[in-house]
Amino acid sequence: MTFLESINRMLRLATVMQWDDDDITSFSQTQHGATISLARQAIQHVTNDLIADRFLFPEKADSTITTADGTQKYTLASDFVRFEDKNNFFFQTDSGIPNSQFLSEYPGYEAALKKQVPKYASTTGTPQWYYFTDDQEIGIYPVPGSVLVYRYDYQKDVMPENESDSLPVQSEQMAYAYVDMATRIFSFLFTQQPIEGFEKDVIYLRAKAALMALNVKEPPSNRYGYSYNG
Amino acid sequence: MAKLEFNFGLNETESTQPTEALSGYNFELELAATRLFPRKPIDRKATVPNAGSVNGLMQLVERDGTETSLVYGAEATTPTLYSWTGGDTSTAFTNVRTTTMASASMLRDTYWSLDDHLIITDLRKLTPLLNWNGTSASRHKTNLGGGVTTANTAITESPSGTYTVLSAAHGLVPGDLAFVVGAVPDALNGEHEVTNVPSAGAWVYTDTDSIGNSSTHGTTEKDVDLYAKYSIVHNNRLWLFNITTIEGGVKTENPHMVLASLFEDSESFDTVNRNGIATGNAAFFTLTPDLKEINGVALFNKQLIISTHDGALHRLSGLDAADYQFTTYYAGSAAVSEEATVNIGNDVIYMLRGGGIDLLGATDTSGDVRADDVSRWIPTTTKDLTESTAVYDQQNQKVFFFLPDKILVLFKDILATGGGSPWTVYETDLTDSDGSIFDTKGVRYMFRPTTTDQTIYFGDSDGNIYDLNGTGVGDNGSNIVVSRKTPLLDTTRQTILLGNIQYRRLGEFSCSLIFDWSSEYNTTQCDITLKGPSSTQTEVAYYNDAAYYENPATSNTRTDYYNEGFTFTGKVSKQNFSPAGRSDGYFMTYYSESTVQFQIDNINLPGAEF
Repeated sequence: MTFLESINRMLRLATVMQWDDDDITSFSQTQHGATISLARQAIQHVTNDLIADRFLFPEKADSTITTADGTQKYTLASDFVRFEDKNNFFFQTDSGIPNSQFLSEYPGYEAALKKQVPKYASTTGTPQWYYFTDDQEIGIYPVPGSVLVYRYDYQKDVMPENESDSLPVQSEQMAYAYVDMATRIFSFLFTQQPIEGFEKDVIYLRAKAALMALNVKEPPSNRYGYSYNG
Repeated sequence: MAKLEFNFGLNETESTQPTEALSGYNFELELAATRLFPRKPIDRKATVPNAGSVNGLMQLVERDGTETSLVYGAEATTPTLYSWTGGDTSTAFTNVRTTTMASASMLRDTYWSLDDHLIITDLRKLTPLLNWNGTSASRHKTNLGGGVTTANTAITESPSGTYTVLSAAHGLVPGDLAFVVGAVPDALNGEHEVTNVPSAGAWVYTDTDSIGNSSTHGTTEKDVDLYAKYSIVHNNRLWLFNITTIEGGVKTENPHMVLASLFEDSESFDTVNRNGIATGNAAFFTLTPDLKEINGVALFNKQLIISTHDGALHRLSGLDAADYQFTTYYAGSAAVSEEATVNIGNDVIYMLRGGGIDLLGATDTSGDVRADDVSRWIPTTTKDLTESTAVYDQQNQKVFFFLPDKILVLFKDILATGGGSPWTVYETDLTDSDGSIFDTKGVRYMFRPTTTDQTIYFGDSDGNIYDLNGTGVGDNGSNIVVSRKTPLLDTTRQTILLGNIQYRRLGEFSCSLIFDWSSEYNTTQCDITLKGPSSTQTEVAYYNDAAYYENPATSNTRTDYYNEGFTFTGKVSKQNFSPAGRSDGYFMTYYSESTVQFQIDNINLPGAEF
């Protein structure tokens, strides 16, 4: 279920859309401008809640950076959260320069590099190291002197942002439960009920329990304790 | 739930009710109706053959019901009076007169029932009085001789009905009126329009056949050319107002003069004897009490009312030529403009200097009071207005004030019943070479030619004739823009507004609800597409034929009744909306550009306090 579809489902459940209302086809439609905005926040609220509960994790993804002659710094993917590996690295996809197949993080990070190689930001050569810059970009040392393509594996943000983004769950049933949770949050926000009692809200908790149950191979027993015959 | 309805019109004061509009245009009103719907489309009905400015629309409905319509195409080089049968083809127009027509003239008509003809006057006093009898347009006879006579030497009839008068140095041109006096046979005598001038010593007129040649030839006397701005039939006389005469080539302006015809004879006037000197049934002239230019005439409650420019309203009293006189209302009661005074059936309405629009009835009983100002709801729109052409639509009980770029519309029935503003404003995207088509020089409440339906026709400066109560698609195909803004609506709580709009499925179109939040320097809007009836499903025969009761298993092949959610024209529908933003109050403007004749029943605005 896409983010857009989830918003439509939520607005129907909350009876914000009813009668002749058509499904929205874009978040920029103004007929339901206020409630679309609120519904998007509700989905994101649930996503945060599930990440915090360690039910959702960032997803694995990969991307590349392409160096340019004399360019020191490069941006990472917009949904980058962290590198996939603990000992993270970049590796060259075409092995154009055999002795630069991997870029490891510079020991001591940029602070150490500054002390050890004062002209690190302008010294060109065969790239060997990378480091995080103060502005959250990737710096390469020595500065590349040619076009090279480096791939990296990372964990991406699962927070839905765009209309076509999918909800970060595996099935439609899970998505329904996901939307049920979000709809309850939407109702709290829309009616301006005190949000401090929300964590005890039965409807929200039942929807969350359903989502958890749908995530395992078999649903857990709905009863506790032993069963005795005769 | 606060349900916003649209009972009343424009109210630009600080006391605007939610059922009124703070501003807006092109929304229609109807007595006891609560819905929001657009004004009727404007249909282009025809274009005059010479494409001249439509400077006059006239109509003769004879006693036997025979109806003929006239359109004045005031083209610069050959201004032409046409008769018109209502169509948009060249054969629908017939040229009935070009002689003595002036291109700047603005022609208006009055019906003289006794002889079943129209008398045509000119607001610009450039075309002399004309007469339309249903088949021909001629100079209207006035029985005003110029006093200079020339002897005739012969009058000969050839061919039958055409008479050539031999008279030395007659000084006539085609279109002039001239008297023949003293001729034998007597039937040759009278007032005739000159149809031809073969030479300086001969002129020609037409009359009934076979009168024959003259035995005694008499004299020729050229008429005084008579021009009048207004005419009206009252107390069995034809009254002319704001007069110009040309006698012997000398033009005399008498804008303060009133001519009353001989009793029950519209073709006999007198510019020598005034009321009091003339007596009984005689023709006479009189002057306005303040000697100021007459700029409006109307009949109300059997009384003849005139207005003088920067003067006052005056009421005619008396029974005959001996005691007719004008009585003056309060100073400053005068109307502005040339055509802003109109009889609206139960009263006379007129525009004052500064844009106030008053009722004579209230002025008559109470004088200069605010209560007589029917424009008190729209002070901003009417402020400083000096020009308007007013016309009353009796069938729809509306009064229209044509302004250069809009029409102010007064709903008389809503005015009478009270409760809210009776005003709306019409605007249009249609233009001519001079700007808006509403800047008209010819408008008339009349029958649609060859029908018994009455409507408002008006013309533009490119020769187009329009029907203000049209039935076509939009304004001749163009969208009708509707705007209607509420007064400030306070809300009980600052929550997200989740409202709904209830409408009828009459055609798909888009509208916007624009919210101007009171405590934010911000406006937001909801764009909503209101649906039409299904395009693939015809209307269901619901209760009136076999479709409903037939057994579907055997003979009924129609499935439409049982279809879930089928639609038909006029079905009530609803849509929700929720604009971004929140505040403790807002102005809401409905806005649409469409050719659909839509209907919005109401707009529900939860939390709004009204």
